[in-house]
Amino acid sequence: MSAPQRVPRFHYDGTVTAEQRAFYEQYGFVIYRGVFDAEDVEVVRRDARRLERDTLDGKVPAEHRDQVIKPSYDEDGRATLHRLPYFTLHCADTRELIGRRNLDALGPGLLGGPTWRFEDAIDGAVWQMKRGRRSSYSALDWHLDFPHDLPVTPLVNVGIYLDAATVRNGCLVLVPGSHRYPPRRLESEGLALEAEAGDVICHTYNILHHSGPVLDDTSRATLYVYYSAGEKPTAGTAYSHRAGEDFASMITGAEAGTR
Amino acid sequence: MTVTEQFSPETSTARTPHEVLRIAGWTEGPAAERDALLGGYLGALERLTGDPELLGECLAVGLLHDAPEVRRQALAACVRLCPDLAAEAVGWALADPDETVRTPALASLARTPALRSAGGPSALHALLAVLGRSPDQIAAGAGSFVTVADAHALASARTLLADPAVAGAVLDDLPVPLSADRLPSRLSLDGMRHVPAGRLRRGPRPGGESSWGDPGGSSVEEADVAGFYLDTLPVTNDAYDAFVADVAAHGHLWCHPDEPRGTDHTRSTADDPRFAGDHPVTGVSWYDAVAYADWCGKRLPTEDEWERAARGDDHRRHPWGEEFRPALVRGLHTVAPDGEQAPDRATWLRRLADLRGTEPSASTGPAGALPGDESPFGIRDLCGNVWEWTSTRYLDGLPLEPRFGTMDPGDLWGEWSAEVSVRGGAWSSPPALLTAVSRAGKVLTARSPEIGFRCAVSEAEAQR
Repeated sequence: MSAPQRVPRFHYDGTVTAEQRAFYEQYGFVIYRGVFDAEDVEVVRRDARRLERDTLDGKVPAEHRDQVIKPSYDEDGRATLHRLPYFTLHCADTRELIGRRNLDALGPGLLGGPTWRFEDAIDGAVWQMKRGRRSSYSALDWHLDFPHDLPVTPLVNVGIYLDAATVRNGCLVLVPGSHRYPPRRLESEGLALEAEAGDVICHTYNILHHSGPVLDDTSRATLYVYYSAGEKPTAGTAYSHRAGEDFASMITGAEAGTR
Repeated sequence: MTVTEQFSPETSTARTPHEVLRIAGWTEGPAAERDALLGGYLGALERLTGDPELLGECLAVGLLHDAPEVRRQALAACVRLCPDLAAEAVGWALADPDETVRTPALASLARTPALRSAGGPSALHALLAVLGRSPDQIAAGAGSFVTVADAHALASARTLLADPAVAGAVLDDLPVPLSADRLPSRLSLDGMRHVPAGRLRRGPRPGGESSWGDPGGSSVEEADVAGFYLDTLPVTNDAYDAFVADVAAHGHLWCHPDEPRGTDHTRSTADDPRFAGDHPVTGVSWYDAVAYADWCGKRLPTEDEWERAARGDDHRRHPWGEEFRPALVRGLHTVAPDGEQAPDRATWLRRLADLRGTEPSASTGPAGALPGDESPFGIRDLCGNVWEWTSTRYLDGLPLEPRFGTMDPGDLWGEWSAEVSVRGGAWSSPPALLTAVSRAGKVLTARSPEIGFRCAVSEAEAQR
């Protein structure tokens, strides 16, 4: 897959422009360049290291620990986690940073109405790490994040990139417009979205997407924040990723799931 | 009965020799184990020569097997034992990704008259698709032919082309007649300007003037552009109509292979007197534009080439400079002036909606009629009058390589990979879009009175 050349990168100044929203509605995604600087990124990384340690030490309530992706183990048998749910619930510095960068304006700006942020239900904000070596999580098959008839929809997935994402390390690949038109081809053509640390990629909950395997030695982490314009569930409502994957498998014929 | 029919699940397996069932169930294991099973399978085939139906069924097991060695041996047995099926089996093998399977199939085809007569046409179709369409090229063997399978493919193609009955039927049936390959090149650099190799900084200059018509920043902000030639003016209606007349006289010799066969290339503006002969052509799809460019030995410019030609080495906002100059560009301010110099998007769209498409002024103007609009490389009419098709996919900026031939045209709406980048703005555009940086995506089948094109030639192509 060739690296794209002209995928638009927009500037985010705390508000969503009409052009940005039009692009988002047409293609189902929008990329903002450099929303977070290097210091911001380090704030999130520091929180992630601390939350991973606390999770492994059993200091995080069981219902807030990840049930989706198995840990990986290094040569010495030490566990590393790929997914940290309820991230902003446990990481005050990151929560404050998101507020300071006015990310909460992305929800209403892109969805066109009042939104609420996943915090204490449906896994909240989720930190995810992909690793190429000795890893239980390197790629994700084609899927939708949420089926269209869930009460929490419509919603937008806001990915804060903490490392560079490239075609080589399995960046996000999506089918632009697939949230509006069902894919009409047996094999839909995906668009690879490369990003730098500090970039933000927003995509709709119902766009067909996947991420390829990490082909080099790099790891990359992303913090996913979700804004919903749908119904707000009660605190502690559990997350289920099977519904979206099963729906995608109906379209692609592929077996959904991590690999 | 075809191989597929032979392999019908309705066929009883009661009489199928156990050696055949065993090879059918074998998927992986040591080579010695495979060879032992294969020996039994081939022996069973020899015993079935008196039962053609069962023989065909058992051959299909091997011809469709996952293991290349089994497919190869089954094919050889098929040629030896069952010539009626062999012709079709060879056709299948031609598409086999494993060259060690393809090679003996091609060799068999070339030296077995019975195969040539039964499977020749389908095999020649496949070979021409792989090797190229020109018998001259096949005779010369020039090209990227480096393996034994390549050599056998060439030999088989030559053998089949030497058979008038086979070659005649196949060549007459090709989507694009081979005569297109033998036409002398029409390429002329008259009316073109040279654009030297250089560096392009895509999109608006940081800190420079901006407007609502500017695109977002590109994922890759700079690119090297090789030297090329570009038409000084857009292709006109007169020039395009000459191409359409040539198609009527000689057939569809220049079409893009993905285009539906027999497409009528007549521009959709042909009967509208407002679109005069010396105006830039409009009402043509991307396929039409590609066919025209091929007709005159050229191609469409890439988006990077178009932008470099318009912006020069100083990456200017308009071909003539930084500032918008209404006298140098045919836009909405020309065809429907209302005093508003720089409408916002909503105002502009309201004005377009109020514009009656049949108004005499609501159309293109003569190409090259506004002196002073030259780009730094002497190229004119880049902004305004007509948007121009490029060869670049809109959303990711990669080359457009359409493969939509089997799709209903209506299904292309909403298909991101069918959107082509158009540049420059048109007679209906406001100043915000009449720049050398604005861009838009249009479905490649669209025929609009606001979209035309011009052609390009690479330096290397020009030297041939």
